[in-house]
Amino acid sequence: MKIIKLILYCLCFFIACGPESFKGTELPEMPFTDFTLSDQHGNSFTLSENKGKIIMLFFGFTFCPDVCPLTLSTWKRVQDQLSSEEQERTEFVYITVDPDRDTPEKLKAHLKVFSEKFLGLTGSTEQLDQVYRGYGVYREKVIISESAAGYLMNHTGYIYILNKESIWQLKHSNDAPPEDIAHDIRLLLSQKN
Amino acid sequence: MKLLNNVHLLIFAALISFGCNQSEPEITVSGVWSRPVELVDSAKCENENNDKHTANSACCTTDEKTSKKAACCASNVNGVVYLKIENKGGKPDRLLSATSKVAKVVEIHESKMDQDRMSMKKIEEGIEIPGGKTVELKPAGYHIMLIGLKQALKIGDEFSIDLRFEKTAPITVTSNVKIF
Repeated sequence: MKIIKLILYCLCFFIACGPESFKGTELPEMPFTDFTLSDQHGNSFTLSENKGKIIMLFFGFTFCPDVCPLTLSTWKRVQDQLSSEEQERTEFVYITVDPDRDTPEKLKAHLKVFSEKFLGLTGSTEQLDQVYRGYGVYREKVIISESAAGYLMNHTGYIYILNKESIWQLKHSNDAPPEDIAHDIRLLLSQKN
Repeated sequence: MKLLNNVHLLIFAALISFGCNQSEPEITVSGVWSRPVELVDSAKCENENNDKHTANSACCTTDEKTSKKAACCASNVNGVVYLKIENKGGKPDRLLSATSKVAKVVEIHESKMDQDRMSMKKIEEGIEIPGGKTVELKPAGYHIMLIGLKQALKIGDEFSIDLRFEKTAPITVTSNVKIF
């Protein structure tokens, strides 16, 4: 009887002290997909130069009034929850799925409403196609003839989180609780390389 | 006996009139808000292309051959309005359209998430507001799209928007610009 009790205590201990789990959906081991694009200020951004940082990725377009700003609003609230040191070690990277309309000026205006620190990336068709392929991004131009919007982009709506090795490890829905995303960022930052 | 028949007739008539006499829609709109939007400096666009006042639809469906037009289009930025519409009456009503001085065009749209895919469409038929129900236009669902904003929407700003219904007379409401 005593032995059973002891085993139970040990089990409780391991459950309580076991490794913390992620709030987002964990992905199977993804390959490292490097890319170089330009940000809204004209600076080059290469993923591999940001190893050691946690990268938040979202594929969106500035013409979208609803879900893309919702994601940026979620990001802003995540950023607000992070300490300044955690913010230094986290990049929020927004990659356009609509390069025809999203000029650097447009990305700049769109992002600065939420945070001056968010990066808005665009590039040549070849550069962007490589990124879309690498991250399995679905994007489809939908022409709405009866709408003044002209066309809209149907696209992947998840927030991707890349670990310190720049490997895509987690995904969250774009309206996930900011505290859940901040929790996962902290957990990834605390992981040993 | 005749009296009894009359009473029956009266009850029958009352039931019919009760059943058919649903009250008219009684619409109230609340919680109207918009996200902030910064305008793009259109000077560059003007130099590249003179038709900066072209409606989005005219310049956004261009391909690579007319990339200058696409650049012009980039000067157009959009906004959004979210709100709640309550119908305290018995009969349904329908939000048909909206207009506002802050945008060139105002349309009703819907976003949908299907697995990880996000799609949007224009709602041509409007949104039904059933009797006794509240319909919410909220992020990642129904929303009013402000296409081609004429002014920046800054946090704390207020602007008016006119809503047109199928039965209820037009209602003018004020939208508050905030980050939410």
